[in-house]
Amino acid sequence: MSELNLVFYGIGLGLIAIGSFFEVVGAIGVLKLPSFFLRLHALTVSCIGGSILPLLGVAILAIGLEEMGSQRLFITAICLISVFIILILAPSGSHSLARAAYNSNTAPKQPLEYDALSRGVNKD
Amino acid sequence: MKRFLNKLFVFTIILVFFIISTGSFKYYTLVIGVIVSAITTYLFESSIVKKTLRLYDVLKLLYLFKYIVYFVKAEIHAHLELVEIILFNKPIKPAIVAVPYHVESDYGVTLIALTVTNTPGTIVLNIDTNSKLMYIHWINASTFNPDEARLIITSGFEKLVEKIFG
Repeated sequence: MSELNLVFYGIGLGLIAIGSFFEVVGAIGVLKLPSFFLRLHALTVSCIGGSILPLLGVAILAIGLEEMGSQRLFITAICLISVFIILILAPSGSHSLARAAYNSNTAPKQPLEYDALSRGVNKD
Repeated sequence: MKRFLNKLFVFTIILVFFIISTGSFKYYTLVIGVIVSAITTYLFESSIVKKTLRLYDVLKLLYLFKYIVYFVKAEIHAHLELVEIILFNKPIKPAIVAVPYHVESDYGVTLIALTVTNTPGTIVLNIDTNSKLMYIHWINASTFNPDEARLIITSGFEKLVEKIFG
């Protein structure tokens, strides 16, 4: 293993380690925070920090594995495309969850200090 | 050929997706890929890209790169704040604030809303297209005033998005 590959390997493993830390933080947040809307914020932490960072880590780590031949480039490209798709789909999902929960009054909104949406807005 | 650059742009993106997801670079898959992406381009090009692209638009990729750098900075800041809130019980102040936006195109509004929702601590709840307001649920609101909130949350993204999508 040459030195440059070792650097790629180290960066990849480091990103995966940081990602697992954010995953645990997100899980604790989902259990600990008081209301539905606040839990959605913790969910965003484990989406961006917990799944996109490790994917980037795997992409960089795959570049460094020279014995895999040209297939490693495909692994890198698939990881990058998954990052792109998650960046589009995950916020759409949490936005529609939040909007549905707000408009149907299913989830309790407290604690909430100020609500600009409740004063005479058409909700469509 | 009308709107040649548009067709070339959409065709290249679909072909690259095809090659990567099949994972092979043989003659046989390449021919099938070219046929499939040509048909898809012919059918859907006019509904995907509305305005006519020019060669000058390649420069906008630079702004896209700048946007990614800004996005990563905002992500790191927001993640550290959320870690403080979750692990160290930092006091929170949740609020729904109205934030005005000035971007015209649909892609621009979508990109701003996705970015704001992707940043931990802010979620777009509703978008009012008549009065051009976004309603954002903010976990630690420092202000309730729309214009001050715009300065803190979206104005940095909005400047770059205006240059990319117009």
